[in-house]
Amino acid sequence: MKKVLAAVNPGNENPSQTRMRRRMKIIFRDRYLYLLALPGLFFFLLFKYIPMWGLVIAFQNYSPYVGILNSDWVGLEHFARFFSNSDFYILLRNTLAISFMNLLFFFPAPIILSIMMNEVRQVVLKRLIQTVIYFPHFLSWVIIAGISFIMLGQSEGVINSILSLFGMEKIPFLTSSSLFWPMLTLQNIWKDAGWGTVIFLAAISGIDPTLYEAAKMDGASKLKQIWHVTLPGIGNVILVLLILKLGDVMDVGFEQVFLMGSAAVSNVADVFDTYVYRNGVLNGEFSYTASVGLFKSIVGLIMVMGANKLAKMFGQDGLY
Amino acid sequence: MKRSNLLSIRRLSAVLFVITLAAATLLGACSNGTGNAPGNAPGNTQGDPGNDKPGNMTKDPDTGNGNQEEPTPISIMTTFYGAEPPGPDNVIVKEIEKRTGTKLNITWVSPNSYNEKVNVTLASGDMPDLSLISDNFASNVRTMAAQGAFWELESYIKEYPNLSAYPKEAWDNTRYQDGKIYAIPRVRGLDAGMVSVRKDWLDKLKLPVPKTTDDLYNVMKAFTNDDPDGNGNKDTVGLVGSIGSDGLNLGSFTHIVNIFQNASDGWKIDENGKLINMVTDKSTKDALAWLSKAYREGLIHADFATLKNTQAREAIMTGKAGIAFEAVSAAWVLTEGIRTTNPSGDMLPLDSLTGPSGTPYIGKGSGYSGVFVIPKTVPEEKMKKILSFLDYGASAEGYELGAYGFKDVHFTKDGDFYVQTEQAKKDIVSTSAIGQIFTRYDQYAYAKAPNVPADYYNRSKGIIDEIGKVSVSNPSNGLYSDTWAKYRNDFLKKTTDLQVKIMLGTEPLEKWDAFVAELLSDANWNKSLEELNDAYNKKMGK
Repeated sequence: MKKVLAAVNPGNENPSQTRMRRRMKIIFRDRYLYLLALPGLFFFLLFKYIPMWGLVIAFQNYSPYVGILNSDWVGLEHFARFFSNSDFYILLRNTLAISFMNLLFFFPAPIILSIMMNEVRQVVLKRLIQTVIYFPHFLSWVIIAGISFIMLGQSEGVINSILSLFGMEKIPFLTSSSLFWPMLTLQNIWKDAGWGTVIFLAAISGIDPTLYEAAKMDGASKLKQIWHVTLPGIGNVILVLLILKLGDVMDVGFEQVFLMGSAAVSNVADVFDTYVYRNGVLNGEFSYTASVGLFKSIVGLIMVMGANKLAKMFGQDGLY
Repeated sequence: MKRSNLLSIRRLSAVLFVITLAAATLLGACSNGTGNAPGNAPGNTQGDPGNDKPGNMTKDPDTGNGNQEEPTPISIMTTFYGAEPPGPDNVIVKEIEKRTGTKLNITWVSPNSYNEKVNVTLASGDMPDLSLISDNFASNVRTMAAQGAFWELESYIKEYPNLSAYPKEAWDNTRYQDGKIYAIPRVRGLDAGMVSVRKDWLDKLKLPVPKTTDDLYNVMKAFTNDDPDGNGNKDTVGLVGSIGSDGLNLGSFTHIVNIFQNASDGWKIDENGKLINMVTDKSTKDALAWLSKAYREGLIHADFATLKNTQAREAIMTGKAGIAFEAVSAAWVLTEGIRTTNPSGDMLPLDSLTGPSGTPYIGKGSGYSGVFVIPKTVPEEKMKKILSFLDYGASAEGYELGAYGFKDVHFTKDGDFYVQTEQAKKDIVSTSAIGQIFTRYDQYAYAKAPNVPADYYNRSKGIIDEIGKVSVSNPSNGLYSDTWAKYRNDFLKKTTDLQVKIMLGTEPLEKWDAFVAELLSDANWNKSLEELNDAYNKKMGK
């Protein structure tokens, strides 16, 4: 093929042209695969990349009536207002606190759970446990918030009713600032720890069984096997998921925080997402909240790239 | 080059197939995205063949009964309450179209997401010919009005007798800063009431109807401790309420604060003719002291901070609580709920309450709830047509048709009351549907409710008369300040947060003094008040 082409165009080729041609040739060879990828590419272009141009309103005083093209440019005014706002630190603190509580307590939960499930020898029992712990994932936050209110309310809440039955003091679970973050983390674990085991169980099943046999021969106990075979075997998956999670560090899940929050706990429950909702959706300050959203995204991007770099520094594969 | 010549027809067709598939996917995605808005055009023509097609209207002499003009198409966005909105083929919608010479394309939006929907629609710049806007003084709506996005209506209104029959206060309250009217109010009664008390419990405990906040406190105490329902258990509570769902106001408890402040919504004109916000006044602190003491003593529902409005109402209807800060219209809904289990139950709306200041207080409404706007993109002729459409809806005949349907089919009349038939439910004829477009001023609208018995209705009418003698309106209505618009939500949220915490006792009352001092030294707060005062003077023509 190459000879044929060279014969058609003798002599007058520079190296970049050849490279170009080679690339074209590869594309032509895989043309059907590229065609198959085309709808997907269009999807991302249309729904992910083109909408990004809307971010320019973060630098404008956007008014719907005059449109993006005719709105006044204000530069970084919205960012200045946001960072100089005394609420900024509270929002940042709450967002990071909720995120890191999740990273610290929620993230390891499915790992521990799947290692435990891996040690269950009875297949029927294992399947049963899996089905039961997957279930809460399919409940919406609205329902979980409703259940929480029924369980934790002060006047007729189930837990408080039991407490007062034993003559104990009622606990204001829903209106106490110090209990709010732990409550969110516990809800997350209850809802999604089971679902999270799907990936880790798959990773564990990919570990070579001969490694366990060899460890047994060397006299390793069950715990030692977990520590020296299972964990290193799924280490890469854990790392990838952790990096992806770090990218979401500024997204704490609007629904959950919004539904569980109230004026009584607002000093710990106000996060970037609820702030954007209040000012952007309710108060119509589109430009200002677009700048808040942009700030969030940039922090997320930095976190992912930083974590990836760190992982590579420690000799791991990382994300890309 | 050579290679491509070798492409067989089969391969070519395979390529074409993949491209078509890709294009189809994209188109499918696109049409899904826009399918939200009108989308029911085919349904219309199918549902009523012959009547809508312009060709038929002009050519066929049989169908045009008197109305030979082509119907004006009007797109409308509004809200609805109830399970589902009427469809485009709804018998009443069809009748209204016939009588007004219009072709309606109504987008019904659930009230739960109406505000969001309005903001998104405004942001898209693609507005229907007539839209209901729930908060006409939201900053984005204001900006658009100032930029000339809506028709200025004052000079046109007087030609429409039914629209100009709306109370002057309602029209005046829609005025923006520049003193102009850009919107048609969705008119409501001016005096809505404020608080209702279980009358049967009062009678049982031999207590008089409360007149002052001190009386109210004693009633709350008795309702909590003296077993008003007589079941032998201490399972009732005096007052139930909920915090505003947006977290920007104390919700039903705002009224108590307002009674202490003796100011509607906290705004007042002081003796020097200046507009002041009473949050920084000592009376607000007194109100908070009253509320937090009541909560500490268990006289307010323990979960008020996390209750939703509907849950608070349930507490009343199931006989768990005896006082609710709800309007006259809600008083009957609550009473009806109580009566399903306790036939003697009775929520009595109070005409006012007197705080420490010694003056009886009750707030006056703005006379409307939301407004309709017509965007400037609509041509003048069509705008006039829309106004006459609304004018018809505000007439006795039009309102009856829209809200209650056909006589003897959808309703029968019993004095002032409309008794709805089963057919009305089937055809979705109600004030919750077309009644959200067609409105008519009725001073006693709040006394009317489905199934209300005559004695209860007449009592409510009397109470509304009494309220009218006392009620005061909010002087800050319609005023605008750039700074206030920008920082309003922040201020309101901080205020509400601290107030709730003080009520719950998680923050001491002394914190309030520090907060007030902070507010008074806040540059943005002071600037807001200054700008609002300027606006007030301007609006008053000073």
